[in-house]
Amino acid sequence: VFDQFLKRLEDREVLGTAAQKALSQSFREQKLDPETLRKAMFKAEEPPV
Amino acid sequence: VIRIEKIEIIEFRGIRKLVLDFGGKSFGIAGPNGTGKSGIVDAIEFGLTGNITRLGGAGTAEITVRAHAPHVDIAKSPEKAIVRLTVNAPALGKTIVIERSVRAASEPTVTPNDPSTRALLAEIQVHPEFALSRREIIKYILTPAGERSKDVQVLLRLDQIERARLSLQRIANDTRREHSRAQSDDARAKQDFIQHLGIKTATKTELLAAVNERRALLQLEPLTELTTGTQFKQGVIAGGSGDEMKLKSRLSKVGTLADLASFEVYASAMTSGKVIEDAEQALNLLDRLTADPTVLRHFRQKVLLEQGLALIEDEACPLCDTLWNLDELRAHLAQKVKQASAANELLTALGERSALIASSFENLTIAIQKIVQACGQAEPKIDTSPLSNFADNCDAERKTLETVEGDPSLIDAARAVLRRVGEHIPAAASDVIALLKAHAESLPDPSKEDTAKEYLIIAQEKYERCQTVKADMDAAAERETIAAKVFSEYGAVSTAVLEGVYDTVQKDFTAFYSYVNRDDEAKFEGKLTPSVGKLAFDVDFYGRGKFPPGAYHSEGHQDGMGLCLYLALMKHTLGAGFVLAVLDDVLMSVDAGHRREVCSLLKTHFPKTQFILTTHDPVWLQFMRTEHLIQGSINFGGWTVESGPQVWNEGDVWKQIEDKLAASDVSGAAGTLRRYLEFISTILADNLHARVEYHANGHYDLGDLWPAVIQAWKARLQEAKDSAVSWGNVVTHIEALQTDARKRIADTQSEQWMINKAVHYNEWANLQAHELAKVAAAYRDFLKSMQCNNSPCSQFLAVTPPRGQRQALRCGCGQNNFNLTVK
Repeated sequence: VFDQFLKRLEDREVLGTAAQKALSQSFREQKLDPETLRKAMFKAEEPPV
Repeated sequence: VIRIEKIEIIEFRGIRKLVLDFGGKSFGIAGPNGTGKSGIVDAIEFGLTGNITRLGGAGTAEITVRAHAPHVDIAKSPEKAIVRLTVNAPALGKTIVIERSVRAASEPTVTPNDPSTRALLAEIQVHPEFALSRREIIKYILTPAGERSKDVQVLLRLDQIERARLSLQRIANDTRREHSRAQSDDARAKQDFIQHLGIKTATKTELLAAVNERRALLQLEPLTELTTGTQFKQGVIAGGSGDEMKLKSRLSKVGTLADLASFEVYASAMTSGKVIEDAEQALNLLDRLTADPTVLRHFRQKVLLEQGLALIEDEACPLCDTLWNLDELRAHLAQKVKQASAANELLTALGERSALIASSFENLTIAIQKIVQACGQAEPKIDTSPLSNFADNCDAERKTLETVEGDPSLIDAARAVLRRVGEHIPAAASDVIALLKAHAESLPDPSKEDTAKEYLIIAQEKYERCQTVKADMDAAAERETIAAKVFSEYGAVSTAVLEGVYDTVQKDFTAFYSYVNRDDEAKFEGKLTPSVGKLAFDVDFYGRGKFPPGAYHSEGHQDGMGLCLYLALMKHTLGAGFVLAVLDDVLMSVDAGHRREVCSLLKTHFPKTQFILTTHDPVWLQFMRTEHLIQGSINFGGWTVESGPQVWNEGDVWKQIEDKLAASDVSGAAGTLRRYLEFISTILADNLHARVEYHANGHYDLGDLWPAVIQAWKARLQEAKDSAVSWGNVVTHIEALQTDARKRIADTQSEQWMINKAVHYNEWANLQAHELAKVAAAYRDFLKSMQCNNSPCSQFLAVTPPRGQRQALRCGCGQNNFNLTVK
C-alpha cells in the first residue's frame, strides 16, 4: 500500500521534490504519527545553491 | 519465519520440566483437558515473544505473565520459570537459541545475538499470530464486522495502514480548520481596511479614489496603480517617522470612531441568526455525543490514550507503571486509539461548527482590544475593567470552543458557552463603549491635512496587514488542498489494495473450506466485504444464500471456517514465510468425517509449514500420525500440581512402570498400566474398527475397550488371511501373526477377565511386584506385535479407510499392508 501510494503521489506530482522525499522516508521508517507526516508533507524545497 | 527444533520448559505454567524435540517437523500433543497441553503452546509463545496472549483479554484483568506464568509453587521466583527454544530461521540460514525467564520476559538471551536475529525476534514479537487457540481463531468468524476488521488487519499486518490513514485524515482535518481560520482573519483584515477607507467595496477604483482624495489634500501625486508594494503614505512623512509616532501616541478621533464602528459590526454579528444557528447545531452535536454512553466513553478514551501514547518514554505504562515491551505497548495503545475512533464523525462535525462560532468570538475580542487601547489614550483615561473582563471572557470562551473537540472535560463548559451565544454585551461593558464614543466625539476635529495624513498612514498599515494575512490564507489554502489530495490518494490506493487483498483471501478461504467439506459443500463460497473500519463476512449455506457464519453452520463447520480463514490470511501475509503454526485444540469440533480432509489440506497446501497441534482427542492425534500430517507426537496421560504432566511416550510408560515396581509401588504401577491401556485401547479400537458397546455418557473404561480391541485384532487378521486365500496369495506371514497374537493374548490373560476374577485388571494392585511385572511385559509384547517393526514408522496397524468398507490393514510406512477384500 505504502509503495503504491508514494508512487501515485510522485506520478501525479502532488508534492514537491523535498516533500515527496521526506514523506517517503517517513513511511519507510514507519514514522506514521501525524506530526511527522505533516512535517514531511509540507517540507519546503531546498533553496538553490 | 522460523521452525522450532527443540523446546525446554522449566517451572512454567503447569509444567515442572519438559524437553520436546520437534526436529523442525510437525508435532502433535494429545491429552485430556487439564493435562498441560496448552502450557506447551504458552511456552512457545512466551519463548518467542515474551508474552502469553491467553493471559490477556476479557476476564483476565488480574492475571499477568509475570505473576502467573511461573509454576504455582515458585510463583515468587519468576527467574526460575524459563523457556529455552532452539529454532531454525531458514531465511537467515542459522540456528538460534532463545532463552527467556519470566522475570526478564522482555530481555531474552539470544545466541547468536546479532542484528538480523534481533530484527527477526522483534518482528515475531509484534505479530504473535503464529500461535492461536480455538477461542482466538473463532473470533475471526463470530465477531462483529468492526472487531473482525481490526483483528484481520492485525493478522494481515495492515494495522500500520490504518495508522497512516488516521494520521493523514487528521492532517487533512487540521489543515481544513487552519484554512477556515485564515479565511476569517483575512475577512477581518479586509473589513477593517474597508472600514477605515470608508468605501463600500474593495475595488481598485474605489480604493484609489479614496486614497487620492486625501493625497490631493496634501498636494501629493495621485496613485494610478495598486500593487503589493503600493505606498499610500508616500510623501507624507518626510525625513523619518516622527509624525507617525506622534499619531500613534494620541487618540485619533477618526481612528477611534472607525474602531467603534468595527466593534459594532462584530458585536451585532454575535447576535445574528447565523451565529445562533451554528450554536444550536453545535449544542445538538454535544447532546448526541453525551447521550450515547459508548460514544462518550470512546471520546474520553481516545483523548486519554492519545496522551498516553505521547507520554511513553520507557518500557512501562505511563499510567500504572506496569512493565511492557516498548513496541508492544505502543502498538497496544495505538490499537486502543483506533477502537476509540467511533466518536470521530461527531467530533469532526462539532469541531467545524465550534470553529465558526469561535471565529466570531475572536473578531469581537480583537475589536474590543482596540477599544481598550483607545481608552488608555483618552485624557483622562477611561476605566476599561468591565470591557476588559468581557474581552477576557470572550477569549476564554473562544478557547473552550476551539479545544472541546479534543478535551471531553470541556463538554459542560462548551455547552454553557453555546447557550450564552446571542446574549447582549453586559451593561457595564457597554457603558465603557459609550464613554469612549462620547469622548471621541468631543475631541476637536483635526485639520483636514492632519486627518488626511492619519488616514493614509493607517491605511498603509492596514493594507500591509491585509497582504500578510492574505499570504497566510493562501498558504493555508494550499496546505489544505495538498493534505486533502494526499488523503484522497491514500484512500484510493489503500482501498484498491485492500480489496485486492480481501479478494485473494476470500478465494483462498473458499478453496480451503470447499476442499475440507467437498462431500457436502463443494459449491461453498465465502465473501469478505470491506467498508470503512468494518469487514463483513458472509458464507454460503447450501445454496440458500449468504449468511453470517454463526447463523446456520454447526460449531464443527465454524471451527473449520476459522481454520480456513486463518490459513488464507497467513498465506497472504507470510507466503513462503508461513513456516510455523501453533494451534491449540482449534479443531475440537471437527467431526470425524472431515479429519482426513483437514489433514490433507494442511499437508498439501502447506507442506513447508511446521504445525504444532494440540488435541484432547487421542484418536485425532493418531489420525494425524497415520495421515503423516505430524512426524512426532506426545501424549499426556494425567497431570498433578507437584509433578506436572504425565508424559506417555510409549517407551517411557514401560520404564515408568518398571521404576515404580522397583520402588515397590505396585499400586502406582498398576494404575499407570491401566490408564495407559485405556488410552491406547481408545486408539486401537478406532484403528481396528472394533465393536464397542455404546455408552451415552461417552465414558469407556478398560473393560469396555480392551476385549473389543482383542476381538477386532483377531477378526482383522482372519479377514486378511481370507482375502489372501481368495486371491491365491501365500498366507505364511499372516498365519504367523495369528499364532503370535493367540500366544500374546493368552499371556495377558485378558480373555479370562470375565471368568477369573484373580486375573482381572482390578486385582493388579493386589499382585506382588514380580507378578505385575510379568503382566506388564505381556501387554507390552502384545502391543508391540500390533505395531510396525520398522522403527521410523512404529505405527499400530490400522484399517483403511477409517470408516466404511474395510479395504486394508496397514501401517504408515507400507511395510505391513494386508488386503482385507475377498476376491
